[in-house]
Amino acid sequence: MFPKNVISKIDDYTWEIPKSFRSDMRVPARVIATENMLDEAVSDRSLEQLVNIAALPGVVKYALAMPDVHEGYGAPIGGVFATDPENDGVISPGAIGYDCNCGVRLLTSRTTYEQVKDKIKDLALGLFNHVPSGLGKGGKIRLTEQDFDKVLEKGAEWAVSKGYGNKEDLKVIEENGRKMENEPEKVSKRAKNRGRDQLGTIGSGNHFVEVQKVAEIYDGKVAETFGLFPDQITILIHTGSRGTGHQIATDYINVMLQAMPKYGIEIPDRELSCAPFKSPEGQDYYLAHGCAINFAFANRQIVAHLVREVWEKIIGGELQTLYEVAHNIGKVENGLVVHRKGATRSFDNQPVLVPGSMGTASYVLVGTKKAEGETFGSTCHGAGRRMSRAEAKRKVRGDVLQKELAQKGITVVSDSLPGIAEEAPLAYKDVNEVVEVVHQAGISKKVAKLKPLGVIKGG
Amino acid sequence: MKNFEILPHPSDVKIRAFGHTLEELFKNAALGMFAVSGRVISNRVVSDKEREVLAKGIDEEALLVSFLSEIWYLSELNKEVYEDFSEIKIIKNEKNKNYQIKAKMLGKPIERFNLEIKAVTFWDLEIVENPPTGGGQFETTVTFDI
Repeated sequence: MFPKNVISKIDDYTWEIPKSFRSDMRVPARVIATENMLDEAVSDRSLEQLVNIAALPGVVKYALAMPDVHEGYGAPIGGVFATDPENDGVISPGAIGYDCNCGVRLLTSRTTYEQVKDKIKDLALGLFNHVPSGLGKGGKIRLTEQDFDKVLEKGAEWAVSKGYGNKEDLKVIEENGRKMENEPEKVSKRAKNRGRDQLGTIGSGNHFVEVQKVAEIYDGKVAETFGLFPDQITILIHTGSRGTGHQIATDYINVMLQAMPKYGIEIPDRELSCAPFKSPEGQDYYLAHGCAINFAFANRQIVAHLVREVWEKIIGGELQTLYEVAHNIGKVENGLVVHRKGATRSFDNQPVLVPGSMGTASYVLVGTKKAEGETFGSTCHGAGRRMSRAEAKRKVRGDVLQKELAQKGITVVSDSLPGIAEEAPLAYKDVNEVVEVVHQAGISKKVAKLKPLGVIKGG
Repeated sequence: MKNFEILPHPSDVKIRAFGHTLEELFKNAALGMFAVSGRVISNRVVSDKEREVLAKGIDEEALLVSFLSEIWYLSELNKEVYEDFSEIKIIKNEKNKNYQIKAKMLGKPIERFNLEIKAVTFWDLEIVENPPTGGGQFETTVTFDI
């Protein structure tokens, strides 16, 4: 239990743990939440983890937790902070997460639900059969070693050059789908081996492809700019850098662990192992991280292509990319090394995509100047887990949940019933509440609510 | 003495492993890891394969994370689970912060895992000797990112 009495209220949606709370804190720690959410946050170790990131060398202003915060390892999920490289500011792989550039892409159609409501089930099944998901299934793409390095170097650009999707997609992806700061030589053979068969796959756990419709529009003007209209069919893709990203993070946490004594760095949790951004180790990780980011960009570009193939066959017409954004990433913005672990970029006028838990709702929001000024241009990323997978499986049966969701008009297709149970809505916080908080706090504004119709997930 | 137990954690999975010796602790942590991942055994007619695992770290905890990470990597690469270990040897050089482990293990071919482990984390990982719980001579928790 985190002592709630040390937390002071800044405003209705902002709470602060002072720097004086613990002697190693270099800056205060802030939580963007309602008081109810704060009560939940004190009950696990997420705030302890938030305080830990406020102790990292070179950290500036304050460390932040978004309203979907929950306990992870190293940084809390929903954690955001920035370090100043000119003041020994560090970069920390564990504070970004193992699934580098886990993120989402939203595809939009010119079709309404009314027009295709009888084809949704077929569409869901078609996607399940065509887009590799789940465990033990490799991707459809065979890559040589040189090809693989090109993927790590060029990201979504590589995929487009091979005929997956089109150049227009690149304009609406964070970093234009290619992180320029990358160096495949900084990626271990292990990391390359782990991901070689996984390009164009969504994986398992909470990754998915979801068919949706626009259920509500909150800001007509912005919705129009984004190309959204009521009842429109959209498709959301959620996946990341697969085994390559996971191994890059593992490799570099180990590198940093060994390097830290050299820089006189002491940290409260080894999972936050780090090195100065400007050090050789810091730079090596940054370049390897760039490769992982590119793998994920290429991955989503290919998955989008597979989705388009199914759409063309079953519904017909085009799917455009509205936007693609990361929620586990480390990057240099405004001269600071910003770390987002389960948090989404929220720059002024840019789309923000927030996937809900299975069967609830997802949201499109728009970033704000306020976020740029107050949260290092960041906002929430999803609903945040509140229950362990084991407990979810005890409380929910996969087949029962599948039927319940079907009755609500949501088709869930998966090859794993326990996998469905683990991702039950009751295992997650309420995404509507999370989104309402970021909206009220002004760090991103609601544009549209997307209701799920078909969910494709691996086990 | 139990080998390991699976503990609750909101977003990931945590195990507690036990051992009468450090080597046994390491082995049981690996068994715990494969209990977390589960598996569907392959129906290919392929015999179990003997493999060697080598890992190093600056201390015992770092060594455990390296050991489990290496085993998981081999597991994904070879599509095998490793639950039969022999000749486990840990060499400690505390002064030089150089700990090493070498072990032989038998790889059982699998179709796939039931749960994908992304990584072995350092969160809450501390090898305790003679824990008050009396579970064995050594005890540790390990949290996996899944």
